[in-house]
This record gives sequence, C-alpha cells and structure tokens, in this order.
Amino acid sequence: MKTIALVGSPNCGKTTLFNAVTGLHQHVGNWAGVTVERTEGESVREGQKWLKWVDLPGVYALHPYSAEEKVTADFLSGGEYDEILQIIDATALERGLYLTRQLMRLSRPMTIALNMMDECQKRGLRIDTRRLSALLGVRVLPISARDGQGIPALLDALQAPAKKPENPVESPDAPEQLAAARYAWADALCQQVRQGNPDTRTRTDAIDTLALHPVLALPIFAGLLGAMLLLSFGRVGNGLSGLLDTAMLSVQGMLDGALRQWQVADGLRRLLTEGLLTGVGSVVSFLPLLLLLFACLSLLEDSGYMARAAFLMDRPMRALGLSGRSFIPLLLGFGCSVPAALSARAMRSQRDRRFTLLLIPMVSCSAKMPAFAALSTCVPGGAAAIFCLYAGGLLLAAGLAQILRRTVFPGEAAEFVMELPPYRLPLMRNVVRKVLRRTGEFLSRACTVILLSSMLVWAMGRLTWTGAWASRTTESILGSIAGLITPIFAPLGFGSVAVTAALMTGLLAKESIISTLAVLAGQGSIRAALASCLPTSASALSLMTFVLLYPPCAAASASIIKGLKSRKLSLLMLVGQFALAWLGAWSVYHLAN
Amino acid sequence: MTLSEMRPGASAVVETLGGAEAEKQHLLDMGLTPGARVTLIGTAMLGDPLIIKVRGSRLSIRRRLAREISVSGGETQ
Repeated sequence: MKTIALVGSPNCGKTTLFNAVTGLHQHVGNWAGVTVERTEGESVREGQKWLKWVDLPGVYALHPYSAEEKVTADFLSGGEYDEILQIIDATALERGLYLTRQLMRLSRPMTIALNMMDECQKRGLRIDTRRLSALLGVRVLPISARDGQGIPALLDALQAPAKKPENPVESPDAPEQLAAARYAWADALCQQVRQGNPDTRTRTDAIDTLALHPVLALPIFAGLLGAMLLLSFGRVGNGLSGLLDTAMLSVQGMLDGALRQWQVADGLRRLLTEGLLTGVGSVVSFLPLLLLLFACLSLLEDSGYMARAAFLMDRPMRALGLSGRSFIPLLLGFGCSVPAALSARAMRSQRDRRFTLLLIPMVSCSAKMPAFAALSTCVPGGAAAIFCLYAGGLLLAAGLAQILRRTVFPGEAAEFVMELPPYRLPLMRNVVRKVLRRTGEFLSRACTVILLSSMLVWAMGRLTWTGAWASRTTESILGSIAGLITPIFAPLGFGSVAVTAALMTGLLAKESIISTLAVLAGQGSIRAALASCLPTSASALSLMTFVLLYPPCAAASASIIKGLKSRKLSLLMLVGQFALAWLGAWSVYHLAN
Repeated sequence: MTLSEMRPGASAVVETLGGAEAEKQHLLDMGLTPGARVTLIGTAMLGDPLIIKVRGSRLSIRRRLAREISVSGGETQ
C-alpha cells in the first residue's frame, strides 16, 4: 500500500482534499516531542484500504525555523513514505512553486495537484497544466477540492508511480539571493504557463475594503462577535440547555425507578442517580454552548475572517505581550472558561498559547455571576460593587500579564508576519467535522474529571468518615474537611464551615456556591444564610474577591491544564490562583473595614 | 525609504531586508524578495500592523519589522 506525504502551504485547501480522499478514515495524534498535530488517513475503495496518507502541517518553506517546518522537513527527508503530493493554490502560483523548488531538491517521486481551479476560472486565469508538467518533470493535475472536481482523476493517476523530478542546481548563497533566485524561477514558470491578469481586484479586495475600513472595521468586528456571543450564551444556547436539563431529569427519574425495581442497595442507587448523573448532567450542560461557539468559530476561521480579527486586535494585545490571535479566547473567557481554553489550545505558538491559557481564569466567567449577584445584596451600592470587582479583575489580569511577559514568557508574541487568506465560503462538511472533533476532545477529557469529582464530592457530602449517612452536612467528610480548612479564611472575614464547604463545591461548578451555602447555613432564605455567615459587608466584599480570583471550575481547570502541557506551569497556576485569591480577599477585607 | 514610510495605496520595489534571521527568512518565503513589487494596502489603527500585497498574497506585517524593509520607487507619506 502506497504512502503519500501531503504537503502544501496553509490555506491551500489541503485539509479539504485530505477529508475528501480519506472520509472518516482519519486518526489524529502528535509528532514526537512537539505540540504539532499529526494526521494520518487511508483511502478506502470497496471496503479495502488502498492508499495511506500522512497530512503534514501547512508550511511555506522547509527551513528549520518553526516546529511545523522542522516536522515536515524531517519527515520528508526520512523514508516513511513513498511519494509526495504537493497541493498548490492556483491563485497563488508563484508561492506554491517556491515550495515546489525546495521539494524538488529532495529528489523523491512527486505529483502536484493544482487546487482552486474554479477560482482561477472566475478570475479569468488559465493555467496550462500540461506545459507546467513538462517543464517541471512531474505530473500536474488540476482539481477543485471544494466540489470534488478532478479528485477521481487524481486518485486514478496516483495508482501509477510518480516520477522523480530533476534536482535543481542551487549554489549556496545568502538567504536573500537564494530566495530571489527561487522566486525568479517561479515567476518565469508562471509567465510561461499562466494567461490572464493575476492582479485584478477580487472579491476579497472588495470585502476587505469594509472589513479593514479605518472607521467601520471595529464596529463590524464587534457586531460579528456580539452575534456569536448572543447566539451561544443567549436565547438559543439557553433554550437548548433547558431542553437538555429536562431530558436529564427524566433520565434521572427513569434510572431511579429502575434501580428501585431491581432492589439495588440504597447507597449504590443514590450514588448513581445523585452523584453520577449530576456529574453527567453538568458535562452535558456544556454541550449546547460548545457546539454553537465552535460552529461560529469554525465559520470565522474557514471564511478567512479570523485572520482579519487577529490583525485588528494585534496592536492592543501586544500591549499585554500577546498577539491579536489571543483576543477571541480571552473574550470567550467572559462567558465560559472551557471554550476559551479549547480555543486557545488551537494557537500555533507554544509561548502564546500557554500565556493566553494562564490569563483565561482571570477573566471572570459568567457562572460566577449568580454568586456575585447574591453577595452584592449584602453590600451597600451592590451593582457598583460588581462593576468594581470586574474592573479590578481586569486590571489585575493586565498586571499579571506584565509580570508574566517579563518572567515566564519573554520575547515578542508570534505572528509578526501573517497571511490574510482570500475570503472563501466555508464548506459545511469541514465545519461540521471540526465542530464534532473539538467537542469530542472536550467530552473525552473533561468528562472523566467532572464525573469522578462529582461522585467524589457527592459522597464526601453525604457520608461520614465511618461510612454512615450523615444527618447533617457538618458531620460529613466534606463538613469535617471544611472545618479543618476554615481557620484559613478567618482573617478574610468569612471563616465559617458553611462558606468553606460552599467554596469547595465551587471548585466543581461555580453555580453551586450559593446553593451549597444556602443548604449548609440551615436558614430559611439565601438572604438569611448570607447574613448569618457574613457579619459585615466587608466580609461579603472579601468573599466576592475570593470567588473572583480562586481557581475556576474543574472542567475549565482540566481544559487549561491539558493545554499547558507542563506540570510545573499547572502547579504554579493553581498555587498562584489560591495565593492571589487569599491576598486579594485579605486586602479588600482590611481596606473595607 | 522603508516600507513603514510608504503611503497607503502606493507601490514600490523591495531593496533590502533587515531583522533577525528567522524573521527575514519568513519574509523571503512569503515572497518579499529583493526586486519584488510590493503595494501598501493600509494599516490597522495606530498604524500597526500594516497590510501589504506581494506576489498575489496579502500579508500583515508589524511596524517594527516594516521599518527594517527598505524599498525604492514608491511615494512617501
């Protein structure tokens, strides 16, 4: 079975072709030692695998300056494949041929697929693929991966062995001279095989006049983002969440009934219906949000607008030491840290990715709002307090960014040169595939963490150390641990077991802080519960500060830690968050008194 | 004249490139070679980054780097 190495620049339609020829037969992994994704797949015909594909990262050249280029260059000079297939965007022919020249130096059998021929036609460009093939000494096939045109012919051609191109003679030279020579060669080839004017004003130019307009650019950007957030966090997202909650309740009821019928032991039954299913419910509750957000983000990426967004936000983000690419993950953090972390994990530069991930928890998520709202009733000028809290949190985040960029993340943010690809209509197949893959990644990881911690917290809250049912929560394992920890919070003004236990459950889900407090304080209403635990308004303010700064929910922490890929950084983050929360609350308490 | 001094809409020819090794190579790979024709399309707010068109591609370049690219034949602001 032949193995084909798929090479091409970013945005040349390589992924579309790969999806088209492999269908569902794909596996994603990692290249050893780097955080670059390795995707492999097979072509299947009548149930038989007949072609193997290795999808190499998109690169513009084979110099060893970026992880992607290194991985690609190393793989291509090694021997784990039979032939190369290079995909060239026919509307950027010179740049594609620049890479071709470097590939030819490898002297391996290769084929070229000239993609986006449909766009060429629309622009009045014609490329003589036969002539190009003759001049290069390798097969050149025109395709239009979007509509699948030319793909059967490509696959047929791949059944026959490819030819090895002649190794072009190049004298070692300064980088400028070498690049100039290669491009001169590419330019000359284009002159010979291409007819028509490649510099005409295109649809992309027209759209960019608006998207990058000195006055309209930012409002348009704000509008698009607003629409995305409104869709995911607003009516549609909430509606879907509501439906899921109802479904979960019925499942819970059915399971409970079934377990009772089978006369399952009380403890096991409750563990499953209350502990396990609550955990499942909280994982499932993220799904509508994630699906909607990922769909919107994929549409923005595939259309080409994401690059414009990163461009617009680059300068402001650099004030923090980040690049424009970090803006959207941080913005998402205002809604929910989980999709924010998942979005940040897609960033190419490891430094930028880790830096952004560390800042996400400092952008307060919407799940903390119920807690803030309730606590603000104990403070005079409640709403103003919440506003000050958010503002203070952002200032703190900016301050932390300044510290991090001088210590842990020196240097400039990546993407000092970024391509703004042509606008293209996103292919729904690709968007669906991306959305499902990203949601699947979340489910497989966060799932285990949340489920296990839900069951654990449930058990700790219901059982005593001897394994009996606790009649009051203060007798339970959770209660006694909270009792041990409580003295730490005394200097902060809220040293009571109920609050401690509430904060502990808040590590699982921020929404449960107030409900746990209400239950544990044993008072009639939330107001009364708060009044009994928080003697002064300074205590309430201090607790709000603590909730703002301490680690986010288990799902978010799990997503962030998975993205950091560094035990040291993860530990530093968790310890730092607790320390910052304690110090912050302490300062607020003493300042307010 | 440097790339950062070009007037939006103007066109010029690249002469020399500065910057660190990796940055220079990346610019060269994207088509910004000595002798190539480059057009300044515009900038973001505060004039940073810039958008240029070279060999049919649109590139976003930070001002700091644009100051290290010298061009000739264009019109200054």
